[in-house]
Amino acid sequence: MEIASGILTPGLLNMDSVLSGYTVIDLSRDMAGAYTSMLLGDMGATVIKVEAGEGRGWRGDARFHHWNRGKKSVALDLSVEGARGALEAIVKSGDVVVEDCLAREAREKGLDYETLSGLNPLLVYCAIPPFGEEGPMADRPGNDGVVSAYSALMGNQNGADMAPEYITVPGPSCGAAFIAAYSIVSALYVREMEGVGQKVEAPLLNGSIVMQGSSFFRGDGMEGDPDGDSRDPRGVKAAYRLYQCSDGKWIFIACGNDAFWGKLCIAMGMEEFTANPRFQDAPWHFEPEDELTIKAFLHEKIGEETQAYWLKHFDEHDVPAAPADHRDEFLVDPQVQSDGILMQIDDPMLGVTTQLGPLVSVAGLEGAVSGPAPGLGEHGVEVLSGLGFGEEECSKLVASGALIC
Amino acid sequence: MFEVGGVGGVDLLKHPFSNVKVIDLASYIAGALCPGLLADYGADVIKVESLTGDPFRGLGPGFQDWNRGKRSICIDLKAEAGREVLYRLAEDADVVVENYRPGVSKRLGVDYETLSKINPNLVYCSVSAYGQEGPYRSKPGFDPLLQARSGAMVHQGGKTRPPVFLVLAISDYAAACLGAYGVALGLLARARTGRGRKVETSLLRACMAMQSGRFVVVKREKDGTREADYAGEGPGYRAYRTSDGWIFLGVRSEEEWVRLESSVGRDLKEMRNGTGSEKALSETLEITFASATSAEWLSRLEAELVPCAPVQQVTDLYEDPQMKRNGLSVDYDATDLGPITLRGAPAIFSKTPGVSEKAAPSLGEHTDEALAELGYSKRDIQGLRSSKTVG
Repeated sequence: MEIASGILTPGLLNMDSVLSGYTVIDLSRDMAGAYTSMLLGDMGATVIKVEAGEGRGWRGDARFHHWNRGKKSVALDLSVEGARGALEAIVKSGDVVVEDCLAREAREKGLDYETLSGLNPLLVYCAIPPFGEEGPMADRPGNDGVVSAYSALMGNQNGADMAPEYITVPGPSCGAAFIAAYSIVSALYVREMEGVGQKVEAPLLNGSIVMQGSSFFRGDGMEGDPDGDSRDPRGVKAAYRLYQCSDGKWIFIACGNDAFWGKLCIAMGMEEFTANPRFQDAPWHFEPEDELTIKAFLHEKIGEETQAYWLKHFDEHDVPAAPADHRDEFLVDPQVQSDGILMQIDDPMLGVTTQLGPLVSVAGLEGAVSGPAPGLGEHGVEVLSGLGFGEEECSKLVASGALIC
Repeated sequence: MFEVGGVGGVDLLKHPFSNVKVIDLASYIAGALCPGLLADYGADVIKVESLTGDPFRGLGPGFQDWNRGKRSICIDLKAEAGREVLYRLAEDADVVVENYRPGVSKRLGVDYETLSKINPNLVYCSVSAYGQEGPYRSKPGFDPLLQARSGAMVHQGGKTRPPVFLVLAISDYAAACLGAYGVALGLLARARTGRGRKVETSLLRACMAMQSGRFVVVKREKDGTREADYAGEGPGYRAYRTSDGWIFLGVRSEEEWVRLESSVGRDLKEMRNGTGSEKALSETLEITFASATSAEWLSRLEAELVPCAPVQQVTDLYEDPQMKRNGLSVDYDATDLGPITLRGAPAIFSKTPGVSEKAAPSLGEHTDEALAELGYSKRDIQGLRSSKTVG
């Protein structure tokens, strides 16, 4: 079959990474935008982070050093004459813009799609607002926690009758970042095919709903979560929950289909359950009293031996189980070590750090993290010189305070 | 920046992946949703199932979320004739997605090496549990096992509670998104270099990606166990009980604190700047917010542009106009379940929008149709059916 080849960059064979040659302009301030452009940078894009003075704020926070690694920093004070011209030159030279402010703020600052695509019609412009670029919530300020509450993430953890619980994993921001990166590359694919730029919008609200997946639905006779209005924090299903071992440590058993349920029964000496027609819809549907019986049986039996014993035992019986341990144990886990996902980056401000490497691999065009997070304005003169600004012009911008170094 | 080469004669893509055909060999959640996200962007996704179907078909609404917009064909890949059918599909496809345990695709003859010989332009995406290599590669992997192992459950539990199982499936959905990102990268690479290639991610990587901020280790510093603050992260950024429910306050910057002070009518500056007064500040705000209803507080806070929201349940979102505007609340007609409301395409494109039209297919709904498109005659198809090669 004949494949459609790119019309913008035909026959480009000397790439190191998929996004080599693309320039991403990151105008964002919060996590989701920074994470999005990190994902693109990890796959070879040049990321120019345009910061105002507020860029000092995140420095020193290890998480933001991670999300901003490998980027170039250009710090501009847009209230000073000349800064806008520098920004426009950067936008004209770029391929992707990532921003995360409210649509209203973007328009006020002249950073909205209509304005920037006027300078560069081939731009792929990605907006990551909290709720949406339009709609009744468009002007509401928000962030990960606010959207987490709004989108039922906090309420759903313990159930409707219980106090909400703050979720320590930033679901809306991560979800939005993954969707944004996916959508930006999809839009670049369209641009390669057809030579058009466009705007894509990946709000935190969308990120949260995509990440919650099957929790959000409404159908005939199916409203809300069938698992109830007060949920056991160790897990609702007997064959899919946490159990405590004799040494006080915990393991999670996750029998996600009938084959694994059968293996669990053998491993625990519960073979009589597999033959019993009462259990034909195991492991997902039991009569409530059966669910309690099985839970009590497993609770007692698992409580008789140590975590190490059970992990070995379940491994031998191919029962899906894992220790519920601390992050520090996971960092030295043999699978994590062999995966090569952890890498070291020497950060001038934090010292030697261990961080996650690229999260996807594309054979032959492996991602490459190009370095630590930049200092504020570290690359201002370098980037502008590359765009044709002369030495004198740069000095003038620095002297007037338009360009912060 | 790249120059435009000349656009003449190219039809506009209606959706980002209108010209992409995907063979979906996956099942369960992450593996199925990855091609589901490609279908959201207009790809023609053919879900290849065994004659008994994806084991998660029984999960109703969830199955709909992971498999919307696909076509279903049943093929017995263990039969040689079944494999031949799959190879004909592969000749005509752009993308393959699989989530077998490592080694199984080779045994079935649907691994990258085999399929790329048939069609070198294939982008072949593997979404495994722990990765293709390493000591755990053959272990079964379900989302909570990664939650448990990675420390997410212990962290959510904090100092005073046992580990907590997060309802948010942090590995599955992230792995699906990262897989779709990988496929999009693979397709872009193919457009730029003219050849297909293998792309890969895993639940392991996805679950770490969701906690990326907690995996930045500075000078071998230990990750302290979280204090028992189950409502949030300090007085400005947490849930508060009102006289009739809960709201979340999302204050982080000095500017936002000042606006909060003006909406609650109190100067909190002294308490904010005093050392060890976090608890006192939280208690003050607890008393303040308990004095009026959620609606009253939200309107006062919103008037000052203080980041805040009601703590909602899924049922509160059904008629939410912002959800509808964002394409997150879409009505589908599911063959097996009847009318159902689910999310639509994940992002909003200005020129090549996503698709939110078709519900998930019933088992083998498109077997005849897909085979006919490959040139199989009615008689061929009947033969394949009676030998139980397809269904």
